[in-house]
Amino acid sequence: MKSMKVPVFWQAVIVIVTAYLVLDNAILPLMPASLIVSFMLIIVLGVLLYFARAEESWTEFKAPIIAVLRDDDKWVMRCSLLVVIPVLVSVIVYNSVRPSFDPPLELRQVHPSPPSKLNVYGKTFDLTTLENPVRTKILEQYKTDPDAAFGAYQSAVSAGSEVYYLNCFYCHGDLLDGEGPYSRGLYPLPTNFQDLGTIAQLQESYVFWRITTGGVGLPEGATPWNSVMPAWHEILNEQEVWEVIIFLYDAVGQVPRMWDAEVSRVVTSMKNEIESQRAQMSGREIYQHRCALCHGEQGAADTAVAEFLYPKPLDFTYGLLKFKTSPGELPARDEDIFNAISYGMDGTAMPGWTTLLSDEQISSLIPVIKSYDTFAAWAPEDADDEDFDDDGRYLKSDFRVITEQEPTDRQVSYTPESIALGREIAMDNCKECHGEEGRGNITSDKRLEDDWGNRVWPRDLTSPWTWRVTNGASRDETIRNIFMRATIGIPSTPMPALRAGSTADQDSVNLIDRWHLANYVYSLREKSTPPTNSTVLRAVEVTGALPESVTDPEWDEVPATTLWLMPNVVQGERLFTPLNDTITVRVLYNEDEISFLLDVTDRTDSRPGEPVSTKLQDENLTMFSDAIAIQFPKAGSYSTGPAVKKPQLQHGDARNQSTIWYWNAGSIDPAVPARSAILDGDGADKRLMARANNNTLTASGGWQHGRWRVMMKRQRDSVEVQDVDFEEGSFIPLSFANWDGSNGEVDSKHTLTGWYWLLLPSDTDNVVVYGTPLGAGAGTLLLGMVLIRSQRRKRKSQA
Amino acid sequence: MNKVTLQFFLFVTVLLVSLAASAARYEVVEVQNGGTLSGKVVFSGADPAPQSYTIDGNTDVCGNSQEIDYVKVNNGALTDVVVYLDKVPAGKAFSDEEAEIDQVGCKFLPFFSVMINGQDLKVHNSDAVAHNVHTFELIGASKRTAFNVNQPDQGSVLTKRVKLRRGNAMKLECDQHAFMHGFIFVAKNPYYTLVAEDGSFTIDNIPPGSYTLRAWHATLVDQEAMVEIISSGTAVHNFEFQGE
Repeated sequence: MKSMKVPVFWQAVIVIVTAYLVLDNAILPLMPASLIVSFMLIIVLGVLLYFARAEESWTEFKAPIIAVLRDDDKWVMRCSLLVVIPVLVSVIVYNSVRPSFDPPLELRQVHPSPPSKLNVYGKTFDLTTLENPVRTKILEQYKTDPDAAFGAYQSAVSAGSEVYYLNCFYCHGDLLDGEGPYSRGLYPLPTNFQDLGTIAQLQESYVFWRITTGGVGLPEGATPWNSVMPAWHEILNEQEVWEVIIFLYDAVGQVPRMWDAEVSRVVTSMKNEIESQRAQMSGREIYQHRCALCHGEQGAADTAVAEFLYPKPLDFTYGLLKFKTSPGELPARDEDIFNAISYGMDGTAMPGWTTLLSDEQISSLIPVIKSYDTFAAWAPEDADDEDFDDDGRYLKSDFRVITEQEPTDRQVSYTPESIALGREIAMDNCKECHGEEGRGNITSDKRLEDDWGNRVWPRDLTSPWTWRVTNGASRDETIRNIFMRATIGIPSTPMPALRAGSTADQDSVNLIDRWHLANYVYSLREKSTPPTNSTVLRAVEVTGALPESVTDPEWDEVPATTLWLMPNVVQGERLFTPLNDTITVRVLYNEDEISFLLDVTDRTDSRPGEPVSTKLQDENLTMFSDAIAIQFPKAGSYSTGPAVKKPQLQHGDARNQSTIWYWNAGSIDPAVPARSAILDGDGADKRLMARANNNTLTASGGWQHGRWRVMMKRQRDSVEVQDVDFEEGSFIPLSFANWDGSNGEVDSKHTLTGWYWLLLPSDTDNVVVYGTPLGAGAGTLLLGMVLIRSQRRKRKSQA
Repeated sequence: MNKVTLQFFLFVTVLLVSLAASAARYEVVEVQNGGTLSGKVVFSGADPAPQSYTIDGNTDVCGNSQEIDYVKVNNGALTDVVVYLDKVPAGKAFSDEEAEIDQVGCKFLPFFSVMINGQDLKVHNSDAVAHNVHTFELIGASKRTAFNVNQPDQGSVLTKRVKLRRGNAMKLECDQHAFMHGFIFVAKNPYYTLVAEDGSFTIDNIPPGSYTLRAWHATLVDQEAMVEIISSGTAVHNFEFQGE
């Protein structure tokens, strides 16, 4: 066999390219570019050294290079390289000098080292030997009475799940995947316990330490140490923490790491036995295991958890599904129930269950849900009175399966003409509840309720990310889903059907017009900016004066960024049922001042005494004034590198303080004008104090068509030394807060965003940005030409 | 087993099955020696004042305010009450009772009406504003959406088949006008009657037997009594609702 020897030069090229590909792709998490560059330098140097170790290999190595430079027959290659290399140099130089808007790199230390001792609950725990006392007791019992041990284990799991759902699930989620209803916009993201790199790698004592001391208990070196995870020892007792740890491991099917290998084996075998039992669960058992905590043991959603949720979990006793595809008043189709479980309800606590349940298991839940119906929705038409229990539940299993589906034929194409026709229909049919601009601001004076008397608000049609079920994979599919909602209505809510059902001539809105309406509703999303994935808010520079008011048309030209709001579920008096979900921000600056325009979709102008809002006010809630705030760290309380440091999200702490720009809408009765203030934050537990006699902040706002628009303006160079200067080119952390007064939000009960970066982009210096790469390219070209010339001369002289 | 016995068993089985199947539905039969039930519904205590609503929107159509007298008392007699026998499997035929409701000046007219389960309800909109006819099946304090259809056009008529499976009454609301309320009693057998202006009622042609007699009012708690109807006899039962 003839051996194919790769030329030495190409060997070197292959080694270097492979090394680069490995560094760039194979190593997770992604390596910063600066680190790759230094590694590559070492590798290239190593390769050169390797081949330069002997004269012979060095000659062999450089032979092809010299050949390209000198040989007559290699002129094509020579000329190509003479073009390619200078261009490459130009591009590389351009990339390094062009203005960069990448935020400072925030690496996350996932498992910082724990201390050896932990002081909580008035005692000292030795973390090096600590084991979960609840588990220890169960294991003790397991030796003598395994059945009792399994019972005790199940009780601990139940107790732990209740703790979890009343405290943790808002961020960490129903599926424990860190995607809870309020996790959006948090940084760092809540821990995903399903990830094998988390609790499965840890001892229970470690988890106990992380839960009890939270974000504030992270060691100084653990970046980022501004996690909003509360110090739970202030809220939960010791027993509850140990129980919730049992629940966490149980729910993700993992076991903790343990010192004693023998004990660890027993824990694993217990887990395996429980899992094999669970694999055999019937629909009714799955319901009790997975669904009952929110939806209730008998489907009535009368649970402790439901009290903390908005929207509330569905009560199955009414036999109604909000999102169904069967025509008219027919009960929901099996597919509707299946899809609701599989894909969940966006914007609610209901997740999609496909990751934890198989299709068969989800199907097995359908008759269980039907069996909780007390209005005989799915009971056969000719069912006997005796086949129902006293509460009206049908006791047999031959439930109706609805096969009829509301047709979606004759879809009208999405054109400006159709949208304009749709708007007219919306003004006749939808305006009283969805408002003139579609933001869900009720213009009639009715407090809308669902069948259970829970307060409900019409959807904001301009913000499709707040919708349930209706968003499809394509525009046409979404329009079909909107058509379906408008045609059938949303049962159990005030949303009516636009099709009467019996004969076509009685329909409130005819088929074609319903398609126009669906096109119009779809088009409303163009009025809004969807929430961003970026962490950077870019300000826009203007020459001359900044806009005087929120109505100045100049604002419409400024790019908007929308950020998620989450309720404060972590500190002080907590808020679990927010209504406002996003804030949209625009930033302008000139030489002296910086101005923020903040939009919050809010269905009510809650200034106490305002007549429309007073009529709509929820009788269980007190109306406070709407308010809005921006928070910045104080100068010196943050750092962008090498390690990023930001103050605690909620008003910083004693060492790392924040400055808050605050605006309050005031009230009509008593007559209090809107006011603004600069507040100083030095800890979530401290009361915010307004700086006395301070008029450095100019703010104004107005509410119209379901939206607050508030403008806040201040000098860029801080008048007061402790505040940050808004310098061009530097990244400044900022966060936002909103109080929806009609929702009873006041003091610590409010919504907030995580930290974002504000950037005032520095001016682009054309000479630097384009001149430098051009110069570098030309220089390389010149060097190349000189090199070739000298090599060619050498060849001639040798020849 | 001979053929006759087999046929007999088959006959009994078919009979039992058909009886069982029809248990939930009312069957019209010839009533022999039917009895009569009569009485009066009275109200004691203070007559609650009508509820008034102030109106901000659509005032050109709806006016600036409206009143609804939920508890109508006439010289001590309570009206807008339906007295009925519950769960009668078979008996006399239904008399014609067409329910037709009009929305005029943002009011459901009549405020209280009676219809037969399984029949159509006709709802007119005589107003120049949109209403949505939102009906609820009532069971005790629970109300569950039966149907909810928007009706934007003046002069339009909406016809919906009403088929309540558990409740005996419906509430009407409009989600665009907070002050619009109405009630419909939905009869499942013909042994019901809306009391007269003096609170008196009579139900006739009742097959002899014992029954649960109920008095239903839209906002007051229902009352019930056991009554015994003897062959061709007359039974009397009076209801008393109490105010504050």
